Amino acid sequence: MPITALTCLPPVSRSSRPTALDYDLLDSALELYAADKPREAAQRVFAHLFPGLAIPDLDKEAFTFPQGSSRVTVALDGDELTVRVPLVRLVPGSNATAALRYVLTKISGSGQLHQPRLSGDELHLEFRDKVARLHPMKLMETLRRAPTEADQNDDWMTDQFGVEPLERESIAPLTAEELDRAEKIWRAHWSEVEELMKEAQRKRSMFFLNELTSYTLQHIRWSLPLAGALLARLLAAGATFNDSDVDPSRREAALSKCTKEMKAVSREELEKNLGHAVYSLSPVGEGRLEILTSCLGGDYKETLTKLRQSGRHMDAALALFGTFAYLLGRFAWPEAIEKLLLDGITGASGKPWREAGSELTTQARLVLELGQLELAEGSGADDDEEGTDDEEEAVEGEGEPS
Amino acid sequence: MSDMDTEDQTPDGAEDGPAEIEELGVFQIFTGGGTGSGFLIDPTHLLTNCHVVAPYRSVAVELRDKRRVKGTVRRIHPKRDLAIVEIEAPLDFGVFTIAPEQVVVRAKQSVNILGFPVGLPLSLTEGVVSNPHQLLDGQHYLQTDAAINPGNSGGPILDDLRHVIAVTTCKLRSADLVGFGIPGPDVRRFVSAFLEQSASFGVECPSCETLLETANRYCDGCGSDLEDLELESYFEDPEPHPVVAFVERALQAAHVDPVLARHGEQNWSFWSGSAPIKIWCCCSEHVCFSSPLAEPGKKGLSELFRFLLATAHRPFAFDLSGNVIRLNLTVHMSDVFAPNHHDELGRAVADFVEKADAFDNLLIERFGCQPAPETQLTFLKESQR
Repeated sequence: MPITALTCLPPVSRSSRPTALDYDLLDSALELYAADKPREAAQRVFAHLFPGLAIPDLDKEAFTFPQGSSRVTVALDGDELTVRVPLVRLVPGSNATAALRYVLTKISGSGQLHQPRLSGDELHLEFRDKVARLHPMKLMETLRRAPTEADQNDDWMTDQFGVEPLERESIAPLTAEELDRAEKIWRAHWSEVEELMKEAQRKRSMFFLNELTSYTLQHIRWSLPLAGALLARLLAAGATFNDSDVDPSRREAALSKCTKEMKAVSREELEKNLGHAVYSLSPVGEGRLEILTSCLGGDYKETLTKLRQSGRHMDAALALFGTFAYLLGRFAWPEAIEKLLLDGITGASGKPWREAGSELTTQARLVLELGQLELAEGSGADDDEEGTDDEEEAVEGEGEPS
Repeated sequence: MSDMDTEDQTPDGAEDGPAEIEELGVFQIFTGGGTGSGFLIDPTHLLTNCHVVAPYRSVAVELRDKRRVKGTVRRIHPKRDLAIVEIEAPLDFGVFTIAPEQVVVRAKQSVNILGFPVGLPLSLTEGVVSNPHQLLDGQHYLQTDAAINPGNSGGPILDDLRHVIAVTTCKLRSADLVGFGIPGPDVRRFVSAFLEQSASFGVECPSCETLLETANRYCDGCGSDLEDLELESYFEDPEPHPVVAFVERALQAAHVDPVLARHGEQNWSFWSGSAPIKIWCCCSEHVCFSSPLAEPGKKGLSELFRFLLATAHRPFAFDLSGNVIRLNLTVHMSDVFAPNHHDELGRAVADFVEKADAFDNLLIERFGCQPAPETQLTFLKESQR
């Protein structure tokens, strides 16, 4: 009996809509730095990034803030400023050699300002630079990237190498009611992914495989406040099954293995890997009109329309479920847009593919229309998101020099 | 290579020439704009493409042992895409002969192309002449089906008798196996004119081929308006991008000649003793300095990794790229645009260059590492070899 619908219940994760950032503060930080006042500029950067948070005078005390499981400490050390994020502690019995190789291979690197450093048996991510050279953009980059890197790696290292967590921020456990809901979502998700995998094998369609692997990750990450080793294992598997450059049969094998592992997770293990973390810096991107346009409009919309017109309702609906989950889980939207997206995905939950696809399509149009109204202006507030490296190959014409 | 090695058919003294590809006088040319190929027309002059060297007047020529020597551009012909580079000292490699006037190139005859495709070591590709006089954009080219790739530009296209019948210049991206070379007669005329002239630098007028020694708007010979040619760009070094100015100033502080270090646009590579140094912009935010030093041995790995992650190495950091230990330094773009910090950062770069050369020895001697694939073994200290 083929799968006839998807279950997308309201999420256990809390909304990640952050406090709006004051970009005038960033502008004044840049002006102060240009006026050779780097300390004052740094204070403005903190005020910009952490609205509502009391920023201490760094000359007198260090500034500490939580970012997921990481505790970030910013301090002045003479004429230098340091940003330190604890990673893990090597302990007797841990696989220290493998852990250190992992750090050197995956966390150290060129092209980043923070680097892992070992003091005794304690590994930290560290950034250190002269205050005089503390350009606001440099400081912002470090404050955003170093904690994220630590947050993404500490659980994996603890799980894989037997090292100990180091000065972790506590994560609030779920209530019993939340845990019940979380388990229901978890079990339904992996059962449905397993059924969808059979469809993928039957259809042998790259489009369907791509949409399935994307949905597998996006839906569960949006729905549940996953943390710990379980999230690390899911992301590690996702790096293979959700990579369209990887051979399809390898992707299917990785997804199949991951699904079996995740289905076997006990309630107790799930509970240990769920929790509401505090993020001082928004862990998700700022929702922008161009994101809505590229995800719900243009060529993608045409492709989905063609799929529906040709009767491939499951393909179209699955793609929209994944896209809605992606938009909700990875970006912070104005309340009205978030509500439309949420109503769309939960409203389509449990409905037959054709009906679900139709509802999601209607809702996507409404989201785009509202996005035009709410996001069309002032969308260029923060243009320095990560991952904007120029990787496009130049298009060269005929008679190209060899 | 078998066709090229045929000795009983080689006239003009070619039978006395080198038999091995490595002995042929074809070299890779590096500028701040890219890389290409060039070949010896006498022991001190290389022929290449204009687009390989322009707008630079000084270029780097890499020899087989990876040493680089400086070359000075003497002549360029923008329209015919030819240039002549003079090298500091004569090179003891096989010199090429431009095909004599009586040599007739015919369709289907075999050709051999020498060059450095996509930065690979000297390579030879084979094919046939598809059309000896193909008309493209108002000029005639030798068309071949031999594989031509970026980096081949400026290399020789040879017949079976090892005569240069064309100089590789371009290919059609939108088609397979459609490459072009500047035909031998044009090359011969350009080289002959150069040998008869005494000017240290000049640009040939695209209309009448008069040698222009200054950047005048109108040609001295035919009066053509040369404004579209942007002649002055050939006579003046290009204004460096701030990243280029920053890096090259830092290299000078480290006693490294920037011209010899250039490896394409905002890219540099050179050796500091035994250690290769690479510099590039990984994104719009960072300038990366990196040196692949060594590969871990099989014992004492924990001690080695602890050493690599020690705080004492600040501001540098080690990482593992595959199995290669690299020393890294990252400079934020905001520092590039802050000249008041350049002296201090220049000293950090000089320190990086010096430490890279020392660290490979240390890693090998103290931790039993193996040299990295790119390590210049001849420069490793005697005690480590």
